[in-house]
Amino acid sequence: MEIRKIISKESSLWLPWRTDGTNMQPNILILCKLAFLLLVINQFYFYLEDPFLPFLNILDAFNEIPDVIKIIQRVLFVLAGILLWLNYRVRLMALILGLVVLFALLASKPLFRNHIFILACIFILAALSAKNNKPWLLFWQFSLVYFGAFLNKILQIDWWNGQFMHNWLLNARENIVYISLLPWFPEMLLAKIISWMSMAIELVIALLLLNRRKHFMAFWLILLFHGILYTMVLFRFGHFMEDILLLLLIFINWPKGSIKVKHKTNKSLGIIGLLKSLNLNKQVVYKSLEMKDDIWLEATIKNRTVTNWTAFRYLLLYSPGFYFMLFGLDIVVRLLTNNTIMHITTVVIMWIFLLLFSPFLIKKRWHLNEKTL
Amino acid sequence: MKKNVAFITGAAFLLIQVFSIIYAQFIPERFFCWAPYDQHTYYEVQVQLKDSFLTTDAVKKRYGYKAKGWEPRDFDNIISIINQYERSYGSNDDIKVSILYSINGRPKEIWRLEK
Repeated sequence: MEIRKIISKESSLWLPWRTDGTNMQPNILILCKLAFLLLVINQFYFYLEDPFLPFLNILDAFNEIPDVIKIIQRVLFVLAGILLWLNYRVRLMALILGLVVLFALLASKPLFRNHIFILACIFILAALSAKNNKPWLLFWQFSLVYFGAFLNKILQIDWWNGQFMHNWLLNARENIVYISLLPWFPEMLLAKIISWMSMAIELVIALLLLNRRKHFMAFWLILLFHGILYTMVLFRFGHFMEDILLLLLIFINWPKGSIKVKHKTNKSLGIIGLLKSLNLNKQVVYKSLEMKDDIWLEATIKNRTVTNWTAFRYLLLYSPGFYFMLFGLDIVVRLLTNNTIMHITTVVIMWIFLLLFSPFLIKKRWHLNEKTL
Repeated sequence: MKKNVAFITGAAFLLIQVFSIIYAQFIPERFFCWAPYDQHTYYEVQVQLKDSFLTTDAVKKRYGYKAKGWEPRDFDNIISIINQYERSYGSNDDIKVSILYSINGRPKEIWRLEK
C-alpha cells in the first residue's frame, strides 16, 4: 500500500485539519486547537513576559536572569500549539499549553483575566480527560465557572438592588436596549429583574451541568443565555463569549466509526459538496444513489437513520470543518468590519445557526446514542 | 492506573478552585475565583513622584495596568496591584498614590496609598 494512502487513511499525525485518531476525542481536540488559535489572535504571545508583580513572590527571583523565563514561555507556547495542531501527542501539548498560560497568570497579577484563566483550565483538563469517557472534568469546570459567578454576585448587595446592572448598562455601556426600556418600568425594577434573572440562570446552569440527564437542557440554556446577552449588549467580555462557545463542544457525543451517507444523484449537489468539504476526518462515507422522491439525503449514524435536513444538521455537527469554518468566519468578520457592524453581523450569523439547529431543541433530539463513548 | 491518576489530578485541580472561591469570600481581592463583573468601577489613578505627577501612560507602565477607565472586576484587585508594586519594586520611591473611584455608580471616593 502506498505510504501516502496509509498516512491519509490510517493516521492523522502531521495533518492539522484532522481531529481523529489521537488520544483525545475529536470534539475536545477541536476545542483545544481553536482555543490555541483564539489566544494567538488575541496576541497572548506578547503577554508572555518575565514575572511582574507575581502572585507567588518567589517568581520574582527569575528577574535575576532577564528574558530567560520570557523566552521559555514563548517557545513552549508556540511549539506546543504547533504540535497540537499537527496532532503530535495532543494531550501532552494541551497540558503544556495549559501550564504555560497558568504560569503566565501566576507570574503577573496585572495580566489576570478570567477569559484567559478559563482557557488554561480547558487545556489542563482536556489533557487529563481520558479519550473513551465522557469529559466530566470539563463539565465540572464549566459548572464551577457559573457557580463561582453566581456566588460572587449573590453576596453583593448591588446585584440584589439592581445598582450594578443599572450602572453597567446605563453609564458604562450606554446600552440602547436598556435605555429604551427604562421609561416603561418603575425605578430600578428593570435592573433588578435582569440582575435576579442572571443570578438565577447562572445557578441553574451550574446545577444542570452536574447532572448528565440534564445536559441537553444545560446546553440550550447556556447557548440562549449568552446569545440573548450578546444580542442585547454587543459585548464579548474580552474573549469570554468565544471561550464559552468553544466549551460547548464538550457536549457533542462524537460517534466512533464511519457514518454512511446516501444522497440523491444530481440533487442538492451544493449542499452535498459543502458537507464533503467539511468532512475533514473522512469519517463520512458518501454514496450517490437513486432514492425515494421525498428523501434527498440519508445518514446512518450508530445504527440509526436520519433523513434530509435532520441528516444535514447531524452531518454538520460531526464535521470538524464546520467548527473551523465558523471560527474562520468570525475572524473574517472581525477583520473586515468595524465594531458595531462586526457585532451586528455576528449576531445575525449566530441566530441563523441557532435557528438552523433549533429543531434539535424543539424535538428534544440530541444524542443518537445516550451512552457514553 | 494512568487514567485514574490523570482523573484524580484533574479533580484536585478543580478542588483547588473550589477552595479559592471560598477563600475569596474572606479577602478583599477576587483573583482565580470566577468573579467577573461582580462590580463595575470607574477609576482614575494619580501618582505623584517627588514633585511631579506621572502621565497616564507612565502610570500604566509603572503598574502594568490601565491608569483610568472601567474596571469590570473587583476594585480591590487594582489596589492589590498598586500595593504590591509600591511595597516591592517601588519601595524606595518617594511617591504618593491616590485613586478617585466610583463603584457601581455610587458616590465617588478616594483611596490613598499608605506607605
